[in-house]
Amino acid sequence: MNGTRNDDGRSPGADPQVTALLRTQYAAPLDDAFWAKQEQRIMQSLPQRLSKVVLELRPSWWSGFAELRTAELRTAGLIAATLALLATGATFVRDQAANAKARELAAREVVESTQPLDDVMLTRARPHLPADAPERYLHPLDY
Amino acid sequence: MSPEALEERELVLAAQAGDNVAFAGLVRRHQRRAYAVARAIVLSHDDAEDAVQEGFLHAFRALERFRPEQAFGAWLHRIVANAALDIARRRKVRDADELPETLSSPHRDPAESDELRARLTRALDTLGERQRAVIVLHDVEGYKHAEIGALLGIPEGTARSDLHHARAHLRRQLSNLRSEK
Repeated sequence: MNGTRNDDGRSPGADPQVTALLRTQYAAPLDDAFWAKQEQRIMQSLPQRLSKVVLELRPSWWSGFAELRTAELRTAGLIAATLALLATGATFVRDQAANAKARELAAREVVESTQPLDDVMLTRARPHLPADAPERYLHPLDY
Repeated sequence: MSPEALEERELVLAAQAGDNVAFAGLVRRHQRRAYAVARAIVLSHDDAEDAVQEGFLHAFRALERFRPEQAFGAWLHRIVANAALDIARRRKVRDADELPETLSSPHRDPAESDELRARLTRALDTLGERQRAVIVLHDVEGYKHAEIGALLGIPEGTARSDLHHARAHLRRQLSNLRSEK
């Protein structure tokens, strides 16, 4: 379609007079000024319409996410989630250990207390416990 | 590849890289032929101008997808033909609501008109849109049947048959006038 020509309207069936009339009716204008103006019009229409497109596509702060490719985003997300999980687990274990140690120290402090037993405690009648009393109950005089 | 084709390829590559001056070079090179394609499809000079402008705009936007080893002219003319068909379709819908005054208005000097021209204009208006496009593209612009088929999105055989029917129709319409002379 680039400059190829057919039989120039002279094929069987083509009426030369009709073809000539069609040419005067439909042929492109010959005036160079017309084409210069047309070219200018076309070129002017490009930036105007493109600027509208650019305005519509003006980047927002979140538009950067759209530039991340899905696979990259998924990998980054998995790494971040793994690191967060490890950090949470480590913090939990450390807190548990600290709490256990604090409880042990508190209990040891009570047991190893050097304060003497007071008179009330020493003279108080020992309660008569039933045979199935919980073993954890210890009277201070029992040890 | 001919020097002209090489030059065009360079213009296309530069335009694809964002060079507007190169795109203007492509416009200068192809606008006359693009106009001819559009003018064969739409009824008026103004619509043809609009179709050419629309076509170049579409081409500019789609330029990234164009492969430089293709013929730029063929690609562009197809786009312009589509733009013209779209305008013709819209015009048809609009005219259906208005008075049926669909005589084409050539941009040339009205003084050139004579009775045969007026008759031809009326005869062309009675042709189907596609048949008119086919006869103008073939007899005025010199496109081959296969090229017309590619431009209008119809089989080559249909383009050939449309041309035959269009010529026969015009011959019938104009024969009375000639016999009177």
